[in-house]
Amino acid sequence: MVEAERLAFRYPQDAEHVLTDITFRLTDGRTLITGASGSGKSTLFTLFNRLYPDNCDGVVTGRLNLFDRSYDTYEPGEVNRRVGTVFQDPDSQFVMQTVEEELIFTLENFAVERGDISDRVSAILHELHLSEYRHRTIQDLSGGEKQQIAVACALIGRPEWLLLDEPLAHLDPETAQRFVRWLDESARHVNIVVIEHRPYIWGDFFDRQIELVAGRIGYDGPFVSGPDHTFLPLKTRRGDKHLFHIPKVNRQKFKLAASKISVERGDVIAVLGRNGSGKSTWLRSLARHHREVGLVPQSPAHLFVENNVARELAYGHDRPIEDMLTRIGLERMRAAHPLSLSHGQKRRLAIGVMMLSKKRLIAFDEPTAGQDEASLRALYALMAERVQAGQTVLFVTHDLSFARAANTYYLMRDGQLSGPYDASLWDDPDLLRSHGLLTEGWR
Amino acid sequence: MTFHEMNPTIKFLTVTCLMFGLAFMYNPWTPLGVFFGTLALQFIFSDVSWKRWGLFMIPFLLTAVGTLWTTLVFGKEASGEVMFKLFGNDVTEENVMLAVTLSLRVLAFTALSLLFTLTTDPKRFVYSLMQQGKLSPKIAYSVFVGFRFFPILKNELMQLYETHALRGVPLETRRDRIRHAPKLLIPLLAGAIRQAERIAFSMEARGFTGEGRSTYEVIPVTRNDFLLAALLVALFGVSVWAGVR
Repeated sequence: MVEAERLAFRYPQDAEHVLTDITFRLTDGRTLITGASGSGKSTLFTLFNRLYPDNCDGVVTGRLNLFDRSYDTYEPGEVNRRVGTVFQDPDSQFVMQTVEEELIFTLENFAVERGDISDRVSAILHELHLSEYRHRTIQDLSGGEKQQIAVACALIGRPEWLLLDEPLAHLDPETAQRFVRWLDESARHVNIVVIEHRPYIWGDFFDRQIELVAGRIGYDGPFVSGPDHTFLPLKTRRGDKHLFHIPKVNRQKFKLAASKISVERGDVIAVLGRNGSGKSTWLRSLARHHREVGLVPQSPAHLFVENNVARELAYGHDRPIEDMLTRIGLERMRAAHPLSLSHGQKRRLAIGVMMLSKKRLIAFDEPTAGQDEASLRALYALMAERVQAGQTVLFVTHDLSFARAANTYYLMRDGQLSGPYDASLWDDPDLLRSHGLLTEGWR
Repeated sequence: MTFHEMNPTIKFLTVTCLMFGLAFMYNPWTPLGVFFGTLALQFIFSDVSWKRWGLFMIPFLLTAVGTLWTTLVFGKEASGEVMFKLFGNDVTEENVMLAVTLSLRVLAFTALSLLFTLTTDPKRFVYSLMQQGKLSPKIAYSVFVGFRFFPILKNELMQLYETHALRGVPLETRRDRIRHAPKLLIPLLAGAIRQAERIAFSMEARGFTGEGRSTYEVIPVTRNDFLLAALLVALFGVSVWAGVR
C-alpha cells in the first residue's frame, strides 16, 4: 500500500525534520509501528491517510507512493475510501449522536446510494457483532465500546487498509484484551497497521514490526513479542500513620461506598480497578474532604490558574518559591505560560504547587494514560524523589506494570474499595480477575 | 398535517417573514391578532406541551410588562388629551397606544418564535437547511459537532471548577464563580481547540470533504408545508386588515 523512498518530512515553521530517510514498503498483513513519543509515528500515519501534508502545509521530500500512485496526485478524501483510520481518543472522533447516524454519516461521505445505506449499516454491525449498539447514544458508551464503534465506522467504507493510532491508550487491561481479541476475529479481510507504545497487550497479533527512533527507521523486520516495561517497588521510608475517611457518594447511575484508608508517611499506594469502577470519583472525594491531600489530575493543566510559572507557584501563599523552581527544574521557564509547557513539565509544576502548599499526600489520577516508556520512567523517578523527601504518594491506575511501583494496594470494584493488600496481591489470580485486572493467559 | 412535520426551512422562512412584517405595524390590533391567531394554530396543528410553552413564556411576559411600564412612564411628551397622570407624568392616549403596541409586539414575536422552536427538531432543521436551503455541508456538520461538544465542554468546565476549588480558589458563592470564569476561559478554549482539530481529522479520515455526498434522511417538501405557510400568512393578512381598518 505504502512505498516510501528516502522520505523526509518537516513542519513549515521548523528547520528540523520530523521524519528522515524513511525507506520501506508496507506489504499485506498486520504491521506494528513502535517508537517513543515524538519519534514521528503519528506523523508517518497521517502521511498514510493523507491528512498530512495538506492540513499542516508540511514539507515532504523523497518519494511517497500510496497504492502505486504518488501521494500528491490524490484528491482530498480519495485515499480515505481505501484506508480507514481509528484514533487514540474515544471522545473526539464522532460527529453524530447515535451509532446508526454516525455510520450513515460515513456512508454519505462515500456517496453510497440512499437505498443501500440501511443494509450496509446492518451488515457491518452484524459482521462485527455490534448489532445491539445500533440505536445507542455514543456519549453513553464506555471507552472500549466507543473504540469498537470507531472501527465499525472505519470498516463500513470497505477499506483495504485499517490504521489504528494507539487505540488502547485509554482502555483498562481487560477491555483492551477483549478489544484485541474482537479485532483479531472480526477484521480478517483487511490489512492492519497499528501504532502502539506497549505491544505486549497485542500478543502475537502482528506479522511485522517497524520501529522509529527519532524520525528514522531503527528496526524493520518480523514482529518480536516482548514483555511490557517492568517497574520495581519504590523504596519507602515509613513514618507515622494517618487515617483518611472518604464519605459515600450517591449519583444517579453510580454509588460509591464510604471507605477509609490508613496512610503511612513515605508510603507508595496504588488504587486499582477497571474503567468506570469509581476510582477517579473516589480520588476526587478524598481530595475534596481532606485539605492535606494534593490532587494531580490526569491532565495536570487543569490545576493551573495563573498565566506564568512563577506566579503559579506563588499562588495562595507567601512562602519563597526560588528553591522550588530549581528543584523541579523549571527555573528557566519561570516566565512561560503553564499551558505552554510539555506534559512532563506540567506534571513537575503541579508537584511543585503541591509541595509548596504543604500537602501530606500527593494523589495522581491515572498518571500513565497515553505515556511512553521514557515518560513513565520520569514519573517513577519523580515519585521516588517525593517518597525520599518524606511525602506519601498515592495513584489511581489500571496500568498493571506501573502499579508494581507501589507497596500498598487497594482495589476498587463497583464503588466498593477493598484493601490494603501488599505485593502478594500479584499471586492471587482470582482476586485480580474479579477486578478485571488479569493480564496472564493472554495469547 | 402538523407543524412538527412541516418542512423546517419553509417554517423558518414563513415565521421570519411574519416577524419582519410585524415590525412595520404601528397599531395594537395587528400584534394582538397575530398573538392569539398563532396560539390557535398551535393548538390545532401541534401537540406542544402548554406547560413548557408557559415556562418559556414567563421571561418574555415580564419583558412585555416592562416595555409597557417604561413606555408609559418615560414615553416622550405627546400632544393630545391627557388620560391620567402616572408619577407626575401626563399620559396621553397616544402614549397608551404606543405602549400597548410595543408590548403586544414582544408577545407576538415570542409566540411565533416558540411556535418554531417547540415544533422543530434541530437535526431535521439542519438537514433541511442543507437540502432546501443549499447550506454547505461543512457548516451543517460543524453544527452537529457543536451539539456533541456541548455536554463534553460542560463536563470539562465542572472539572476545572472542582480542581480550582481544591487549589484554594474561593468558589463558594455564585459571585465567586462568575468572577473566576475568565480564568477558566483559556484552559477551556485550549482544550476545545485541540478537540476540534482531532475531530476535524477524524471527519476527513472518514472521507468527509463537504462535496460529493449522498443523502440518507431526506426532508421532503409537500403540499401541506405550503398550506400551513399559507395559513400563517393569511393570519398575518387578517391581522393587518384588522389593524389598519
